[in-house]
Amino acid sequence: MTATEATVFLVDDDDAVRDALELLLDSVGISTASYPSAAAFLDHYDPGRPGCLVLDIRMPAMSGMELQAALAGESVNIPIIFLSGHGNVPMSAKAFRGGAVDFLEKPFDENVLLERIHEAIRLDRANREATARRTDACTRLATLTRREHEVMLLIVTGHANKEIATKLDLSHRTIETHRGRIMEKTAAQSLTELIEIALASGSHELK
Amino acid sequence: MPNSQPDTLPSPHYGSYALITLLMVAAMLAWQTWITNQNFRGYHQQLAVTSVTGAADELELLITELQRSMRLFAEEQRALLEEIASNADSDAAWTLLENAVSRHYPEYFGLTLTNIAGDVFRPDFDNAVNELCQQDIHSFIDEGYSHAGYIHPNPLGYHFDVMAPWGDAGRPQGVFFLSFPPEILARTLQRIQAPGHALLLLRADKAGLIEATALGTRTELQRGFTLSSDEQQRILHGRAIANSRWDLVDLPDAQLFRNELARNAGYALIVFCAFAAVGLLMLQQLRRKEKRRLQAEEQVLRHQADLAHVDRLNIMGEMASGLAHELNQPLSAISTYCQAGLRIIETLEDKPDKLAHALEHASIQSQRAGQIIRRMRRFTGKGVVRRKPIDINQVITNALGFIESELKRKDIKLDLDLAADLPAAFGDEIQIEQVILNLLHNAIEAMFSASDRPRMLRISSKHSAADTLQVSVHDSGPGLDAATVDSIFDTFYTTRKNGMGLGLAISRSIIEAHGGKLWADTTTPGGATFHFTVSTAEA
Ligand SMILES: Nc1ncnc2c1ncn2[C@@H]1O[C@H](COP(=O)(O)OP(=O)(O)O)[C@@H](O)[C@H]1O
Ligand SMILES: [Mg+2]
Repeated sequence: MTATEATVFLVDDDDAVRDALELLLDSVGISTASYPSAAAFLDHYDPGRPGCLVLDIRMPAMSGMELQAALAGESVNIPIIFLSGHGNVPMSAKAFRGGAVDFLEKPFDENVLLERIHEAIRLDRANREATARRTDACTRLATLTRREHEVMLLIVTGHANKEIATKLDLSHRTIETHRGRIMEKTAAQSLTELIEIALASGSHELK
Repeated sequence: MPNSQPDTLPSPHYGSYALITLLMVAAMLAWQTWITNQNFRGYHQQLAVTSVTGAADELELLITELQRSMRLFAEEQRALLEEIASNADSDAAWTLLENAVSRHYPEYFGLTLTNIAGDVFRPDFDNAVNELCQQDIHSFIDEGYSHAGYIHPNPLGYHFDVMAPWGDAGRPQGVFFLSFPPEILARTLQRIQAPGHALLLLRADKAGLIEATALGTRTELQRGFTLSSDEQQRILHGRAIANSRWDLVDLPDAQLFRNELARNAGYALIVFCAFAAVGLLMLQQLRRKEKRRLQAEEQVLRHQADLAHVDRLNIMGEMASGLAHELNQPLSAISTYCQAGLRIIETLEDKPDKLAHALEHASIQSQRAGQIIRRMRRFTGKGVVRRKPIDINQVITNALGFIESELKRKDIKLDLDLAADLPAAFGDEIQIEQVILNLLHNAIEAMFSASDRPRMLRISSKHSAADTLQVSVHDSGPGLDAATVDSIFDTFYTTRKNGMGLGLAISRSIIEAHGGKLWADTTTPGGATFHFTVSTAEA
């Protein structure tokens, strides 16, 4: 997991607005990537890059709202802050329903915007970490054999070795061996850590 | 914008028309009644002449014949009469005479015989030959043996006399005369008079004195002996009867003409009333129809006023909104530039405080400008959408009502494809109608600019998704340019000389405020197509 620096993606058809925002973010040390249209953004966007999206709601061709929908369609989960030249209630409600972080009316208070951007970046980081943990857990669990997986499920659901042995009709020793292997393969230091890994993987047998 | 006016007719004066018609009917009926009455009168006049002539002829004949036959009788019975003259007391001779008279004149009433001096040989009845008879006898002798008969009384009853001389042809020896009952005359009158008429025998020498009618002599009548002046005037026809003192006249019943007139007038009145009733009913019906028409007209005008009002508000709102959008972009940029500048200054060693102050205040002022715009927008804003169930097809039909005449004038064919049984959409009917009108006006405008191809306007409605209705407006105009299709919804964008560039912007705002979508379809060939959706969900 490489800790790339967060980028704020700016999408606005107004050149001056874009330029001013770049300057502002640059002045507080946030790196930016700006695009004059939703299409340009989609062309260049790499979902692997962490950060957040500052999006003008009304643009020709593809509106901010449509871009939000398009990203959701591709299961891209980047936090979005909407900017609006003239917001109205039903529009902002719809934006929030689509998962927007915030909805600011131009001209906005830059302090508020910066605050929201920081929040959004934090949210994105948390999201990415959760995703990373999950993929990590999944890869670790994927190395287990089928029997080991079976034993692991029983361990994390709180069964003692003895119980597991009876249940699977195996010797106590064999269970001991499986347990050792599982801890080794998943690099779990403790039972608590193993449970965390199992939960992070989102293993559906746990639900 | 609605500009077609419903045709207004000057309200007709139904009342005056009806009155004139009724007056004409009344005049016609009066004339008809008068003619009928005249005919009736003419007919009865004719009838009177015929019956008077017939009866008078008959009575004349009767009297004349009696006079002639009695002269012959006297000649025949001369021997007997002479015997009576010489021996007036001979009962046998009297009886012979009476028998002979009875044979010839069975209806006779009295028999009298005088000498040439007029002295009665033997009164037939006690005192029966009174003074009047005596006078008659003398005048008969004096005037050369002619007698004009009339009815007069004696103690036993009314009668009339017929006289004849007896004796030598050249030298009469006396008068032989018979009295007859007036019933003989009455019978003739009775037989000949027409229904509704009375034939009256009057004394020619005594004005209006009634002698006899079909009912009998004057004494037998339940009335005065003379005709009233009213009756005199009513007489239709009269004629003197020769050899008598009589006039025969025809007197119609007092009621005859009056009844006829009343009956005809009654008919006319009934017909007139029927006409008047039917006329009144029609008038009322017309009035009601007229009232309904006026009400409908008023409703159309009110609807137009609503639309115009909404249109003005929309234009104001959209202009404010467009202006706000346009201004907010540079304001936002200014504010952000200032903030960026301030932050850059923060990083400097030697801080230019005055510059920082200037930037800070520039930023505050741009925020203030933003507030002003926001307030203005709230003031002109459309506010909350009124949500009521609306029949989208009805809204389309209403909108078409405004442009119908324009379509005809500009030779544009209309193709309507409205889905039946659509559920109700929710929203503001006037606003949605405004959107449809904007699209229709644009379509007409576009087709009018391209004069070479046939003009076709297609409007359709359908149930496009679970709770969504879609309306489409297609025209056969020049269509949309892929390069500009993104701009046409922008506020103030127009390619028309007199365009404001607000129609599509307003329409999109309205539809989005309703939670729907409005878009241009560039894929349909041969013109432009615009679609919009409205929700059938009540929310
Ligand atoms: N049916 C259409 N066909 C072709 N062009 C259209 C049509 N409707 C709209 N347009 C284009 O969109 C522009 C904007 O339309 P609109 O917003 O209604 O403003 P306006 O009618 O005042 O020009 C028009 O000037 C025209 O260029
Ligand atoms: Mg227009």
